[in-house]
Amino acid sequence: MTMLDVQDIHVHYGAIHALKGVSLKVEAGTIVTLIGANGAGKSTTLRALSGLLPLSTGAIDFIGQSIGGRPVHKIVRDGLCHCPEGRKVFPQLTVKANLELGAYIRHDKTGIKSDLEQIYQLFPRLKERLSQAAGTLSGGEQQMLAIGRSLMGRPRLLMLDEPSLGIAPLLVQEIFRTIKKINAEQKMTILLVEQNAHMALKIADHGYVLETGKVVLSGKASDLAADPRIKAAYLGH
Amino acid sequence: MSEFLQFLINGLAVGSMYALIALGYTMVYGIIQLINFAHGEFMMMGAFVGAFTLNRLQGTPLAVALVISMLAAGLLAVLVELVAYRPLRRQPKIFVLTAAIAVSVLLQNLGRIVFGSSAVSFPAQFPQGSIGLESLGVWVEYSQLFVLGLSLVLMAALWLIVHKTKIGAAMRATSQDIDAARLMGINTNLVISFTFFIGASLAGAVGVFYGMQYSVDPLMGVQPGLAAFVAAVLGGIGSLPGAMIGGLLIGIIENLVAGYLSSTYQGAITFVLLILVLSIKPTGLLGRMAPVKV
Repeated sequence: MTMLDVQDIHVHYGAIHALKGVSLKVEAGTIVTLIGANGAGKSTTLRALSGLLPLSTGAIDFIGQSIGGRPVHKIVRDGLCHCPEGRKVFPQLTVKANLELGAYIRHDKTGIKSDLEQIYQLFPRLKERLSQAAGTLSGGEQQMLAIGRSLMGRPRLLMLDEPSLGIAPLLVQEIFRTIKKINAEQKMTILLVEQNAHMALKIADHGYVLETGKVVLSGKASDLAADPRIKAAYLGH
Repeated sequence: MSEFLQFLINGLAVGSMYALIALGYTMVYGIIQLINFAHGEFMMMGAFVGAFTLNRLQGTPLAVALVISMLAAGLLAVLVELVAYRPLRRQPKIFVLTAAIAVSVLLQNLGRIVFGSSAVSFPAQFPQGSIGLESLGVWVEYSQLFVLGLSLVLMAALWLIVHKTKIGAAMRATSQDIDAARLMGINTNLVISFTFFIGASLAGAVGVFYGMQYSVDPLMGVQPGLAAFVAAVLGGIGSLPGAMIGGLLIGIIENLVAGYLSSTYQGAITFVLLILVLSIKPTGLLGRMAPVKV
């Protein structure tokens, strides 16, 4: 089943034409990655999908419903969750309060409680820091919190924006392993934006390569990883 | 000593009113980084609605009039935000700040047209009088006791809303990172409206408190509005406990200056304090060193 179907979306920042017709599909249960250089439009794509940026033209279908132009808070309720670039945890709130805000749209108290336990299992470091202000966590821990917070909303599709950005290499490994685990164990569909193409293609099923606001290449992640053009441009071979 | 205590009590009574107004300034600033210069006018509107309810609908209990005033001031603020501030939200901050000054002048003159420019009084609500604490040699007026007590109740209620309810959690999230809050599924427009409503309803309550002690006129919101603004800055703009402490301090300092120096300097001291705070510790007593957001 196609969960997310993005058709030829254009986005402008004032006079800058940031997205020049991006189309992509995300099948249920898969990890799809969007790779590309800085400024290629990866984050812009996610911000447009979650409604933070208005579309100039184009269409977005999510689980058979058109969500282009819907307000952000309604798109979240539709089940499309965006874990933003730079983590964006609430710095003065505790780790626990951050996680609870992730479940803001839910009302099933017992479900929220059991999901909290699940997050603690996924990220044991968070459990040790529950009553600490989120701003005092390390970058890697904040990233774990941001992912955990997103999961608390029980999304149908999780969009992760640069989870490896500014994080110690050892933690990057751990975070990517966890992303794969969330996909495998919870059957979570994931759209992953990454500059670290090597890591992203390793865990993804499918990939899209973005250059200056356009998709220039797409295919199975393993094929992309083997593609000499990708190797030269993004994998540093 | 008893003189000092008396000034302190008078200061606390006025200061608790400044604190309630300052809370509205600081809440709105915390959430959209706007100094809402029309905030004092919400207090004036609350006072007039209170005067109208008590004078025209005789027999209305004070508690009912207080609630009506709070609702009226709150709804007016929601309307002001919707009509004058929201359309400017994506513009540079100076636009909406200018709009706030315009709304302030507009409401003052609207008050003059609707209620007339002459002062109005509340009907006597309390048995006039005071409680004497003989051993200390100080007097507490009934109205002061009432204002102090209710102010504490309102501040406690606000604390409960902000820290123990879902909308309160949404307010705190929105004030720290509005985009992240939207990504949690929070309707931040609603949260902003709610913040204006709560802040202005506190100012509306102060309007009634003022009306009980002084007379009511269209420009009455200016002085307490400015004093409360300074209180919010002194406490650290964006900080709720800061607004409370700042309000009480300004009230006390004003009364000490009026008592020991001269009441001529009562208004001036507020602004001397503002200049001192801004030059020595711009983040205020409890403000954080956050360059953009609080």
